[in-house]
Amino acid sequence: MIGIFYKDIVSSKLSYFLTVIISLVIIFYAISQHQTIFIPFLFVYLPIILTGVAFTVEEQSSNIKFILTTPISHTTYVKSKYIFTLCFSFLEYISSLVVFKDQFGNLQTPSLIGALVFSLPIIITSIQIPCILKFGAEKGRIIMVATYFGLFALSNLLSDKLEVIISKLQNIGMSYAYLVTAGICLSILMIMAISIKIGTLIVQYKEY
Amino acid sequence: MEYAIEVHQLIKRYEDFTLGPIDLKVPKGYLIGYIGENGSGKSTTLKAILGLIQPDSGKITVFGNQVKDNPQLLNKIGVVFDNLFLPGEMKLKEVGKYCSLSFTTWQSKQFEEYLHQFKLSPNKKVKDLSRGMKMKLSLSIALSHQAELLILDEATSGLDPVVRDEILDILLEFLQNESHTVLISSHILSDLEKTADYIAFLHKGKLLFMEQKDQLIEEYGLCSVSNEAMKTIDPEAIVGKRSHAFGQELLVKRSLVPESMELSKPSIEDIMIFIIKGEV
Repeated sequence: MIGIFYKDIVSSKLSYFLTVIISLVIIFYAISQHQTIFIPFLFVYLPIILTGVAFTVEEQSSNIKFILTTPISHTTYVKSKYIFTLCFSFLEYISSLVVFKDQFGNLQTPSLIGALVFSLPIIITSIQIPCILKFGAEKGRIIMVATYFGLFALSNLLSDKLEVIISKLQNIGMSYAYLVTAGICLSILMIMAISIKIGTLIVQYKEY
Repeated sequence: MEYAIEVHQLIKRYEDFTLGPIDLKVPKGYLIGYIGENGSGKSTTLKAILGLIQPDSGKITVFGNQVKDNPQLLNKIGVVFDNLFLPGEMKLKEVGKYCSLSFTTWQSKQFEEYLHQFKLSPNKKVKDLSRGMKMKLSLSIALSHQAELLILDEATSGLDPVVRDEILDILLEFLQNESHTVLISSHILSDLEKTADYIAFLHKGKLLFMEQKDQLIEEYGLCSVSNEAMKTIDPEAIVGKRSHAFGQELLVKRSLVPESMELSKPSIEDIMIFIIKGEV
């Protein structure tokens, strides 16, 4: 798994470097403009972009044919594609706690918001990765664009009802907040496990 | 006899082509040349052995195990395709690191030695390598994880004779260890003439024969006869024929023609061409 992740990083160093630079600029700008709310949401988009880049580079060189002649199992190969998502989802959760803690004055509500934001990239990549494995990076990109539009529409919908959502979140008893957070995280990880299983079956039965 | 690969009743169906049923046993310690015309199913067989495609039926084992059930088996198999399937932006030293994280039996020092032997700079990027260099890198990888079986799919095609010779030398050196086996599919039959112990011949998806190369050359003979003289030859003896201005050129089975008949030794290429194009 580490081998494939290492290969994904070194084979498109420049793309990842530029992504990090752009992200840092956005983060600094958001902080300077006191719009830190953007920071957790930035981490929603990053894993989707980076996963797309990794698959594109891999497809250009038909690297999967090499990978499948190494002792790396199909499951390990598929799992390795979720590393970006997990790392950024974790960053997203942490940044949500930091950003929203000041706003709400407690950790329970930010924890809930964090869990919700944490779930977004995992759900998206859980759809994206099996689609790319089945149909290739090119068609996978189309799905990625469609998901972006979906996200955009969702953000619009949520922004209209932001106050209602926040008040509902605050209404969840303090003692339940962590339980709901754990429930959300668990459900999301289960979705990811199902996605990994589907991805593995696709790789097993696809012909290279 | 111990076998490195055993293929039993392999069938793979495509819309316009069917491979098999194939029964193939690759004995340990030998170099087997897998030959056949374009589209005869050589690459399909090799991909099926490596688990890159799913056969419709049949069983394939490598060292007694199925690759799909036991990915660790791939530590023992070195693969060289006709192309190097690595991202162009990777440097050769990064390729070494990547392989060390992928193969549990990887030997970094051996890889570095091969890079040195093939004059490949560790700081060079994959995309900057020539075809010959890519094949050398691919062979370096295949030989650096203690593989006992090498599978080469058209690895020498498109290479100049010097590089091909260098690669063949490496293969022969690899075979010095009696437990090592090489299965090589190639169009360049002169290379196999020099190195192969066995020849397996695939034609239109069917394995016509797998025989020891020397025995194969002894078994057949080439002769040029007039149309009249041809009528006296047992039709069973004629494997293939080609017409020319003075009669026919025949590939015959030595055992079925009179001993007095003057025959020349055919090359592997002659045998392949006569069987494919000179069908009786």
